[in-house]
Amino acid sequence: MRNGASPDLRKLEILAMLVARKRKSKTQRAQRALSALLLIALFILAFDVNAYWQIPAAGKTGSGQLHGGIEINPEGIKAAVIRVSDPEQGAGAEVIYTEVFNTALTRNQNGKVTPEAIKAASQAILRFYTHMRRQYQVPPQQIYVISSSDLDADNLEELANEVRNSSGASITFLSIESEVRLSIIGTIPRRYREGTTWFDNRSQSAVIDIGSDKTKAGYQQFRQPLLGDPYYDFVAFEISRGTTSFTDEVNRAAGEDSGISKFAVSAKALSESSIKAALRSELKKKPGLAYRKKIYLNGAIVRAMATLLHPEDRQSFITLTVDDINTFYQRAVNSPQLLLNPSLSRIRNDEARKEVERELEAVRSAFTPKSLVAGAEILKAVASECNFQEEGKKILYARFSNMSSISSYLLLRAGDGPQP
Amino acid sequence: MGRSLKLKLCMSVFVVTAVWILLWGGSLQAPAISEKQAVASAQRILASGLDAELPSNPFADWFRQMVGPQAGVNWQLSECGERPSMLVAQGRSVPACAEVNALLPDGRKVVVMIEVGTFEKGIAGNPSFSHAAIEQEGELYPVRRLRDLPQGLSGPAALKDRYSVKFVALNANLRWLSQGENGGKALHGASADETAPPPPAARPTGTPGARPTGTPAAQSTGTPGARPTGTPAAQPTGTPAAQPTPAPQETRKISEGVVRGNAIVKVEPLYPASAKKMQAAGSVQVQVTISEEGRVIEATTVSGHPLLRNSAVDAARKWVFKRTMLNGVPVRVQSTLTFVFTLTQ
Repeated sequence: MRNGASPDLRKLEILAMLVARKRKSKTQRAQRALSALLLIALFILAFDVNAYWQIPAAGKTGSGQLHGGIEINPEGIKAAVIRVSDPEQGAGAEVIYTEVFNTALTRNQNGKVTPEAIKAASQAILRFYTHMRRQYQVPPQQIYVISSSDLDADNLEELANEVRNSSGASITFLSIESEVRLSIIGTIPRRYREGTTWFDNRSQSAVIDIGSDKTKAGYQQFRQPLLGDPYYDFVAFEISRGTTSFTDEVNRAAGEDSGISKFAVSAKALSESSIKAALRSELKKKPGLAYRKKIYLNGAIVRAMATLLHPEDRQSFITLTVDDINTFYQRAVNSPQLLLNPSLSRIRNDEARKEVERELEAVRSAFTPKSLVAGAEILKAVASECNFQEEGKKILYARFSNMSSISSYLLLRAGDGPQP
Repeated sequence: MGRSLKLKLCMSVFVVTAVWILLWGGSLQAPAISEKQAVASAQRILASGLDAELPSNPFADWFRQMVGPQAGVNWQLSECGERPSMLVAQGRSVPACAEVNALLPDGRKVVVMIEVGTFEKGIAGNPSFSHAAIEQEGELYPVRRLRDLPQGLSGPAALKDRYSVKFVALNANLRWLSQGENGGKALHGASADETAPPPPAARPTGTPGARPTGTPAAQSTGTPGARPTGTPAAQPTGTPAAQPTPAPQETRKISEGVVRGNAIVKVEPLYPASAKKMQAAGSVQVQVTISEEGRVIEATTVSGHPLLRNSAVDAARKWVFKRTMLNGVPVRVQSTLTFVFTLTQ
């Protein structure tokens, strides 16, 4: 866009210079200033019109087609733009832009999202929408707004109306099944290699996402119905406890003013009666999850654990262990300040250190010592019920997993071609 | 009644109670199936025990021979058949399978499921063949009998007569840039082992252009219900000229259960505030017509409260489905989606 507009700008500048040389009187100078102002105004107008209405190649830049997505979560709004080189196959996709805007969209006591939160969310959506249009020239019909199944309130219609009024976009509310499917596609690589041999990855993996309100899990299962064709089923699994909701539950039981030790004792007791019981009930219906060899752990509490325990590990996939979970729990209960301020002495690279510091700051602002304990308790419960301690089990944290749903949704849309 | 008699009676009651508790307690704590044993039993069983026409070698050896030494083979305990939640709701045990899957150097994938027992009761009886499929270029080809597997693997031509099921977007792998453009959040490229490009999906045997795109051969015979058994001699050559054109825009009706099973994107309707105010609740049935590509091209309400209908139709329009294939050709289908609106406190 900038390249397209710069020759016009140069012409305007030359014109302005010629005007300046010919007119030297005060009146002339005033006229010149006025002309320049007018030209700048015209230029801005031209730029805006260009950005909004002139779509040179229907959202194509470089060699690919662009698709933009905005995801609404209880914790905030995420945005992503992907470039798909071959929409027919849904292959060759690159994530070229991501951004997260943190804003709480949790329900109040009446089960509703507050009007202020709705306003803030719709403004953030409008900002992302405009950015995608201006910066990337993503066609409006290729910008999608989706809402996580975690977003559960009685007045979602108000949010949908506000977003429609401000940006013209309509929200697609995802079901848990769809979301888990998107998470699997976006997080679990299809294959992996050992030596020179390639193995199928998705058939032996599962995703477990510990969110703020809920914990979701899913895996891909090959099925052959008695009648009909074989298919890949995406088994979804959900318990209504996440880091924030469990923190609230424990606070109610232990008292808001309770110390961290009392909170931890209550959390342990409640974990047994609510989290583990719910997990067992779900596992009875979906027993395959406990036997998956690779578990991709997602969620803010997992990101916090990986950042606080392994700040130096900058890989996309960070291997975690049951010992990590136990260490995380112990430190959260016994020395939360030490946990929140890990040593960065092993990070020599300045850039990497700055990035880690930013990540640590994000963790500190998102978690209180109590929510760390509550989250660690959920992690422990998941680890014990899903047999993480079993020999040969691999636990991974995918660094980009927070953007996996929106990115794979875009991929799905791009692969399916234009919308009806 | 003497004291000793009373004592004896008490003792008997105590023993009976203890035995009952022991038995009842045992039955409460369902024995989790041992993955090691389940997989070992499937590996050990003779291939001939799974299909009488196969040799008397252990199944694991036969399978390895079939897929070749370069294939990446995984064994694990897995769910068999239908969705377990349905079975659990009916009070039935969830069948357990030893799953063996192999990724071939040419990119194809083979999955074989051997039923070994149930997750609740453990290993029961002899392992038996449950189902299998070959995945190739984004399509699943069912293998109904184990003896058909070698033929299916011998080349695309052998799969030509099979129903194929195309699945959407599963083959996609996102590539994450190490740095988002224009200051986007930094994302790191995945490790080589996790995301290196998959092996080339070479076409195995010398039949260029004869990729199995469905069932042209079977269709050309005009007997769509009759599936050939996979004997190459019984098949037409499958040249492009032999491929029939799909029937024009014929719509077939399928059940809601099937159509829900085919859904890729499910969207729940919003509960309109006006409907809540009016205490409107209950189910709304929406009749949907789904295009060959799996898109909802028409949605109309069949029944339900008027205040809930628009919301249900809006949601139904956003559903995306797997293509419904008939004889390997995608077809337009019609079905019903039922949305239940429940007023909560």
